[in-house]
Amino acid sequence: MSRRRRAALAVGTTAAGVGLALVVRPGLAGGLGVGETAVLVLGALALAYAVLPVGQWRGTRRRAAPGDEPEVVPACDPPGDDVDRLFAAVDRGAIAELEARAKLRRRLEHSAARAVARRDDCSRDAAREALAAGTWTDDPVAAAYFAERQGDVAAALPAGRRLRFHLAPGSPRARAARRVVDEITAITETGGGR
Amino acid sequence: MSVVRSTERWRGVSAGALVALGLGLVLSRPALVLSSAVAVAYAAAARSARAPAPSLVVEREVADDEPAPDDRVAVETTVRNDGGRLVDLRLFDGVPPALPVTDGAARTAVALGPGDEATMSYTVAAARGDHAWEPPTAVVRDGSGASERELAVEAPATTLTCVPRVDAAGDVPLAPLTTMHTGQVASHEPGAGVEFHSLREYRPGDPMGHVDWHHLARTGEPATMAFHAERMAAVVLLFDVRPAAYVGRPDLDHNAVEYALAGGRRLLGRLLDDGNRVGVAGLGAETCWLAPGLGREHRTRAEQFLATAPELSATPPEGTFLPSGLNTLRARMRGDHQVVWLSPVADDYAVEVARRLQSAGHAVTVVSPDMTAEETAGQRLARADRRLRLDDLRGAGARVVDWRPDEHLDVAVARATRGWRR
Repeated sequence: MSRRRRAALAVGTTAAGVGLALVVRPGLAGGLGVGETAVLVLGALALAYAVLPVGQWRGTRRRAAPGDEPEVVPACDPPGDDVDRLFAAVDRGAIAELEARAKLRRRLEHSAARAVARRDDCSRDAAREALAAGTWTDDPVAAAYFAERQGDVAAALPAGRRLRFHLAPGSPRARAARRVVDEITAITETGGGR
Repeated sequence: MSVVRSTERWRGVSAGALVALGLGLVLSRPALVLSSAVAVAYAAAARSARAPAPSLVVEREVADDEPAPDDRVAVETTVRNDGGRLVDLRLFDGVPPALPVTDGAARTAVALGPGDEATMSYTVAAARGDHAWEPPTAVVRDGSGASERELAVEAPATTLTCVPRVDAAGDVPLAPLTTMHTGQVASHEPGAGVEFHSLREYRPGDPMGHVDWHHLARTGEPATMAFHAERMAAVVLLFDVRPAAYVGRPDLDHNAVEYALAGGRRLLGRLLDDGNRVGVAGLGAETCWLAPGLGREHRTRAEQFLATAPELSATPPEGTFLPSGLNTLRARMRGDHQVVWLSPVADDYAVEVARRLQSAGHAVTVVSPDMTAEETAGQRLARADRRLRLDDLRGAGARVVDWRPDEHLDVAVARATRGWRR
């Protein structure tokens, strides 16, 4: 224990001892000359100081008990787990959402360009142009996802469907990104390969 | 070396003491003031507590230190307290990360008096590789539970080595590139073999069994059938052990690298049985290399290599992969080495590896365990990407075996071979 803590312990123990003595022999209090106002101030200070440990307690991070699970072989992540984490960040709308949105878009653009190039037997540059122009798919939401002007991805939908799209749970851009994944999957399933 | 820390268990007591004191003073309630003194005493005890430094002796016994794969092996770890009383002791045994515990628990929580012992009895399932136990971890707390000390307890070295035997697969899909020795692979040149190559003019002395009688009946001219010359192949089984290759699927027991190694063992067996020279290599944070060879001794060496080479680890490596590793391996390969690239093709670099090997003149066959799923958007995207990569590989001239790990490798090879042309 440090010297400061020992001193505090000594002061506290002495004060507690004096308090106990006063409980037993109240007459001793007259000699101390402590007025009622001082008692009230001390009480108020004690209550105010109680906030400190409560605040520290609430601010303490939870920590797992030491020792990993020795019985379990650590599992490897499935392919695509990194993309799912980006989707989760975009859905959460967290502070890091903008960076996650940009990463997700780059990732999807890379896959979509390769799929379109394979399907249409064209170059990757031509495929990217089709993505930017929105001509690579019949799905209007997926088509709008890569549009040069990053506005409302559901703008091309009829009014009723657009409203339902925006009212659905989760981030609209994340849902649009999922539709892009569906389109890429459909391309590779129906005729992307040789 | 040990780490001492506070458990924060008694933090609320200080707040409780101050609240009781403050209310007692403000409301003039002596009983509340007295109760705060009790709380202060607890808080003081917690603040002054310090977890003891234990003196523990460990003995560990493994029932079988050279089991066959999937054998159940009993392990018993006994910890004796050679120091003072320990009222709160938690022990976690250092089970090797690649060995699952199938029965019992590799941990315990006890109170040990001086000279007392605690035992952890459990069973592990043997898996390929050289496995070494880490020292057990002990977490000791003082009587109040306010302070804890975590330390690794010295223990005798304990290892378990599991070397799966190499067995043969069905037909192995080898490209026609061959070496100069006679073997099982049909080359592009005519010679001694069993697969038809072409017809040539009959010469006196040609074996009667090689004369094409149909041609004679049709044209009146005798002709002799020539066959593809069969030559021994030199094959390198190249395993993708980069961090990107350690992918799994929730419904499968093993990761992609383990499935690739299991498939590689079967290919190795078949290739050696057919008289081919076979080598093994790993491309990862560290590379490894066993030069192609043949014969019983080489088979044993290759079995050991596949099982125990640290570069072919069952769990993801800690280092970073550098592309220069491929150059290192290419420098060891001869021009006539065929390569079987065993990779889940989970990223674009796996395609790049095959392309670079092909551009260096090596025939490449890709055997790819499919670890993709379709439950989430990310998994569906990964599946689509893998499909496109395999198409890229086929388009570049590589032979591709797309293998679902829940089926036999032979089935996947047969399915792939149906679509190949010579």
